[in-house]
Amino acid sequence: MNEKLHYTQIAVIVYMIQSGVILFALPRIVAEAFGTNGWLGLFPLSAVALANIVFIILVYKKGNGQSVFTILEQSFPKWLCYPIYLFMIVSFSLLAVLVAKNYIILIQNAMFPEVSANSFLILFLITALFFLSKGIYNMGKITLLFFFMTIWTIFLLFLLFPEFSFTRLTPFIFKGQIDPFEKGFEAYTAFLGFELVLFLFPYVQNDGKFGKAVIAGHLFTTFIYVSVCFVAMGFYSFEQVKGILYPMQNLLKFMETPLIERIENIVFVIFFIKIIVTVTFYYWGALQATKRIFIKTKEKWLMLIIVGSTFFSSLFFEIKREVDELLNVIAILQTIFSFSFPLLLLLLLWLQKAKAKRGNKIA
Amino acid sequence: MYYKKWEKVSQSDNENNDHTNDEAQTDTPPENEEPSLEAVTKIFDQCADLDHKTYSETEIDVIYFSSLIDDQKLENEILKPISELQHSEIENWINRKDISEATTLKEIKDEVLSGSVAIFYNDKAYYYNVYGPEIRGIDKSETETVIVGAHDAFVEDITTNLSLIRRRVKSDKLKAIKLKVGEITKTDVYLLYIDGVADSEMVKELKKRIEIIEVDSVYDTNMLAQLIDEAPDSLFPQYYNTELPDVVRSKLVSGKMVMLLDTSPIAISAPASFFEFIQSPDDYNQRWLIGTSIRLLRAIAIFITLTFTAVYVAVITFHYEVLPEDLLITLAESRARVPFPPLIEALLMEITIELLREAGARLPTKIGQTIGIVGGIVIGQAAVEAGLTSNVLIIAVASSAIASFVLPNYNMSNSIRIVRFLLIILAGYLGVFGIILGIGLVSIHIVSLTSLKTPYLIPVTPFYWRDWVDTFIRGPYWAMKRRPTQTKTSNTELNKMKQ
Amino acid sequence: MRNLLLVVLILTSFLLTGCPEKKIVEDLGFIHSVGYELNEADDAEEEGVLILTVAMPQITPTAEKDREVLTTIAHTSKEGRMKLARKTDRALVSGQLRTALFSRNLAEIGIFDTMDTLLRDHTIGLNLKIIVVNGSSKDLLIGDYPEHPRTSRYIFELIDKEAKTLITADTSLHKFKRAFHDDGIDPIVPVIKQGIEEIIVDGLGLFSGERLVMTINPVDARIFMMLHGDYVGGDMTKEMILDDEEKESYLYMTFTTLKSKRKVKVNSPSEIDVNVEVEGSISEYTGLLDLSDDEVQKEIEKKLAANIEEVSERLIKEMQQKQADNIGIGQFVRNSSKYEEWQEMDWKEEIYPEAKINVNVNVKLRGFGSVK
Repeated sequence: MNEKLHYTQIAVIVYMIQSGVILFALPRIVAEAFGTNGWLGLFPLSAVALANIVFIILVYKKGNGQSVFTILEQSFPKWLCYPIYLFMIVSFSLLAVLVAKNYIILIQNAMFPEVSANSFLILFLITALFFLSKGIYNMGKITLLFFFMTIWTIFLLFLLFPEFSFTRLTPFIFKGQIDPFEKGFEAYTAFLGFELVLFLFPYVQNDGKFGKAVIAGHLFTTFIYVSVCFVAMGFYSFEQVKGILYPMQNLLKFMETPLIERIENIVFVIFFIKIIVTVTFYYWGALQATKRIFIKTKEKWLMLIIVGSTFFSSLFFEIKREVDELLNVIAILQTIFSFSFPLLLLLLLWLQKAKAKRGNKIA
Repeated sequence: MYYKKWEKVSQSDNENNDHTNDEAQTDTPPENEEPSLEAVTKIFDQCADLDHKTYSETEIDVIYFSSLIDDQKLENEILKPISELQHSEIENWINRKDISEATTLKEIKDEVLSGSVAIFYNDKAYYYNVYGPEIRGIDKSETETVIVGAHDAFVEDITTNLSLIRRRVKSDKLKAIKLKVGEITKTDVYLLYIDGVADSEMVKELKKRIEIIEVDSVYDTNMLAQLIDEAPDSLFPQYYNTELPDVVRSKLVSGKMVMLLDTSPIAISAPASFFEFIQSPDDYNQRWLIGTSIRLLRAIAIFITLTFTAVYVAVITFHYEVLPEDLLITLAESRARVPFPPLIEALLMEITIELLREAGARLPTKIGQTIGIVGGIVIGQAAVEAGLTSNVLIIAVASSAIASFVLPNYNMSNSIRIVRFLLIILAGYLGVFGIILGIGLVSIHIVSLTSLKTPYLIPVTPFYWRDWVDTFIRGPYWAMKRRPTQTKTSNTELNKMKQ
Repeated sequence: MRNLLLVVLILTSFLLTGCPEKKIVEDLGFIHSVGYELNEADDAEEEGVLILTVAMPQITPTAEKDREVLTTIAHTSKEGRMKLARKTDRALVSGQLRTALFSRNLAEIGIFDTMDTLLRDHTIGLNLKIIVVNGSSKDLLIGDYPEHPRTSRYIFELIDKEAKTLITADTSLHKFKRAFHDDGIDPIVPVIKQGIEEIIVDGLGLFSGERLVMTINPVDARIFMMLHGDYVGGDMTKEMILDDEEKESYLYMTFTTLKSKRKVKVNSPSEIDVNVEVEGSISEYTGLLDLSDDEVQKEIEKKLAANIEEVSERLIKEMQQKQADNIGIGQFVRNSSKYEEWQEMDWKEEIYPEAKINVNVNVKLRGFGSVK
C-alpha cells in the first residue's frame, strides 16, 4: 500500500481528537478558572499546547518521519522500552475507555436514567472496535467524514445572536474568584489529544505539510473553543455560567426551531460521532504500543483484548465522580507524557546524530 | 473478494501444472485435433437445431445453427454462391470472400457456437460469420428514465450495444478488450476504455479479475460486478450500472472503464464513487443551477429515506419533548388508538409498503398502477381508520418511500432502503442515540469500501475539493476542468486529447 | 471478522430490548402549565406550603374536555408531582412545560426555592415562561374559559403576543435566571389576572432578587420598556391638550409602532443619565387641529416627551425605593467602573436608592397616518 494520510486529514484528526465532551462544560470551567472574560484565558492555554506541538513537529523533522518506536528502540535495549510501552498502553487505553464512559454517563443521565451505563458502553466500544479494525488509513477517511457530519453544529451558535450582549461580558478581565491552576489545568486538558500524532509519523504523506497541518488543526480547535466560550459568556451572566454544569448543553436547550423545539438532546447525541473518534484514536495509540511488545500476535486479537480488558476495568468506576477523578489523574499523566516524551525523543535523536557523526569521523 | 480466492486457486493450479505437464502432453485434448466433418458432427450430436447441408456435386458440407444465424445473409452470401458455383471456382471464391480457415477443432466449434457457418471442403474447414439472431429493437429504458436527453438504451445484444457506444465515441482511442466468462456458457465480455485517459494499471487489474472468474455462467453484468468487487458482502453496489449509452460515454471520457456483457442490457462502469449514484444524465442537460438543485434534492431524498421513519419512531418512543406542542397533540391523539408499540407499528407499515412496491414491480405496468392506488390509498386510509397506525406514520412511511424512488439508480435505492430498516430498529430500541449509532456504523463501513482499490466516498473523504464540482453539485462547465481524481488518470485535464 | 462484528452489535442491541424506559407519547401526560401558590391555610405547616396545579392537554379522543387539570398541596414541587401522579392514568412528564405561573402571594416571599426544580430537571426547556398571577394560580388554571378551551395554550399565546406589543415582557426561565444572577440587573416578569371568562394581561412585575416588589400597570409598561432596552412595537394613548386646540374635552391621541432606543450614560455611580429616543406615528386623534402643521408636530413631540419623562421618573423613584434595579443601570455602572470599586460599593442597597437618575426623552413623530 502506498496510501498515506493527506495533510487535510491530519488537521481534521487533530481537531477531532482534541475536541470532545469537555466542550459542553468549557464555558463554566474557564469562568471558574479565569473569572470574568475567561474565554481570553484559552489563548495562553492554547499557546502552551502549541509549544508542546512544536516539540512534536521537531521530532518529526529531526527524525525524518521515522516511527517514534524506531527512534526509541535504536537507543534503548528492548527491555528498557517495555515500561514506556506499558505506560502508553495503560494510560491511552484507560483514557479511551474513560472518555467513552464519561460521555455515556452524560447521555444516560440525560436520556435514559433507568438504564445501566454499561450496556451503552458495550455498544460504544463495539463501534469503536469496528472503527479501529478498519486500519489507520480508513480511520483517517472516516474521521474526515465524521468531521463533516458534526461541524455544522457550530453554526447553531448563530441562533443565539439575538440573546448575546456585550454588556454582559463586562469589561473586567480575569476578575472575580479565580483558580487558574487547578481549573486552568482542567481547561488545558480540553486541548489534549494532539500527542497522538506522534504515532502517525510513518503514515503521513511526506510533503512537508505535516507540521502546518497539526498546527492548523490545533488552531481550529482553539477557534471553536474560544468562539463557544465567548458566545456562552455573553449569553449567560457571569455568576450564572458558574452555576451551570454544562453551559453548552443548556445553551442548546434555549434554541428553538419551528419543527424541532429542543435540539439539545439531538446535538448531544451527535457528539457521539466526535467522541468515537477521540476514543478510537486513543485505542489506536495503545494498539501501536502493544504491537511492539507482542509482535507475533494477530492485530485483531490485540484489539479485542485491549478493548475488552479496558471495558472490564471500567466496571470499577460506575458514577461520574469516580470517572472524573480517575480522568483527572490520567490527564495529568498524559500532560506529563506529552511534554516529556517528545523531549526525550529529541534528546535521543541528538545523541544518535552525534554518535553517527563521531562514527563517521572515526571511519 | 472472490477474485482473491480465484487468484490463489489459479496460482496453485499453475504450480500443479508444472508437475503434471508430462502427463498432459501424452494425452492430447480433443480440442487440438484436426478439424474434420465427422468430429464436428460428433461434437454437435443431439443438437436438433444444427443444420447440415451437403452439396454433393461440389463436395461441400455446410454446418450451422439455424437459431443463431441470419437466414437472409446465409442465403445470399453462402448458400446461393455455393449452389451456383462450379467445382473449380470454389477455391477462388473462398479466397476472394475472405473466408477464414480453421486450424483446430476447438476453433471451428467455438465459431459455429458464436454464429458462424462452417464449410467443409477438400478436407479443410472454413468458417464465415453470419451471426444474426432475433433481437429486441432499441427501446427506452424502463428503469432509468431520462426526461431531457437521449432515450436509447442498451439491448441484450452486445454488438448493438457496442455500436451504440462507438457511435458516441468516434475515436481510435476507444479500446475494447474481448474476454469470455462462464466455464460453460462462454459469454462475451467487452472491457471498454479510452486509451490515454483510463489508467492502464486499472485496466490491467480489471482485466485480470474478469479473466480469473470461475463460475459456470455469468447471467448479467450486475452479477459480474458482484464477482469482481472487493466487498461482496457489502450492502452497497461498488460499480455503477446503467442502461444508457449516454452515461457510458460520459464515464469513458472521464477515464473510467466500462464493461459490457453479451445478453445483458446493462453496462457497468468502474471505478465508482458513492456520489455517482445520485447523478442522472438529466443534470448535465439542464442549466447548472437547476442541475445542482435537483442533485441537492436527491441528497435530501437519501436523508429522508434513511431517517424519516426512524426519527418518527425515536421521537414517539423516547423524545416527546423535541416536538412543538401542536404537533405532539396531533400525534398523541392519532397514536392513542394504536395498540402496538411504535416500532412494531412502523415496521408493519414499512413492510406493507415494500410489499406494494415489489408487487407493483412484478405486475404488468397497468395492473401495477392499480396496485399502487389500491395499496396506497385504500390500505393507508383503512389502516388509520381501523386504528392500526397513526396517520403521521403513514405520511412518514409514504414520503420516505417516495424519496427512495427519487434516486436514479435502482440498486442504490434498494441498498438505502435496507439501511433504513436497520435505523428504524435501532431507533425503536435506543431512540436518537440508536439512529446516530446506526449512521455511524454505516458511515464507517461505507468509508472503508473501495471500488477497484479507490476510495468509495471520494471526493468527500479523502478530500479533493476540485472534484466537488461534480458531486452534490453539478458545477458549471467552465469549472469542470479536470477528470475525477478517482480514475487515477495521468491525463487529468479535460480537452487535452484534442488533435 | 468485520461482518461478524456488526452481527454481534445488532445482537447486543436486541439484548437491550426493552431496557430503556419507553416514553410513548400516548402514555404521557405532558404538563404544559404548572401553577404554584402559597398555601395560606392554618394547617399549611403540616400539609404543605405549596398549592401545586398542573394543566396538560387531553389526548384521549373520547374525553369531554380538551385538558386535564390536577391540583394538590405539598411541601415541594416534586413531592406535589408524586401526589398528582396518583390522580391520573398517564405518566407525568415535564418535557413540554411551557409556562410556570406563580401566585402573587408566593412571588412576594420569593420564588427561587420553587424554581430550583425547574432548573435542575434537565427535561425542562429554558424557554419556559415565568409568569406572576395577580390572584390565585390554582383558580386561574382550573377556571373555565369557554372561548379558549385549552387554558395553558391560551396563556402561552397570550403572553407571546402581548410581549410583542410591549405591554408586558416575555420572560423565559433563562432570562429570569440570568437577570437574577447578574449583579447589575433585576428580573421582570409578566403579570396576568383572571377575568370573568378570560385571562387578562396585567402589566409587569418587578423583582428584586427573588421577591416580587412592585407591579406596573399595562399603560406604564410601555414606558418602562423604553427604559429597559431597545424595542420596536406597541402603542400608547395619551390625553393631550395642545395649545391651539379649540375642542375642549376628550382629547386623546394614540401613537403607534413606537420605536425606542435607550442610551445610558454614567457620570458617576450616583448620577446617571438615561437618554431615550422615541419614534412613532399617530394613529388616532380626537381633536380638530391640522396635524400636518410643523409647529403642531413639534408641540406634540415636546408634550409627549415631557409626559414620558414624568412617568419614567415616577417609576424610577418607586423602583429606587423598593431597591429594584430592573432596568439594569447597575450593569452600566459596573462596566464604567473598576472591578475593585464595583466590588466595594453596595450598589443595590446604598448607591442605587440614592442615585440621581435623569431621564431625557427625545420624541420624533414619523407620520400621522394617511389623513392630511
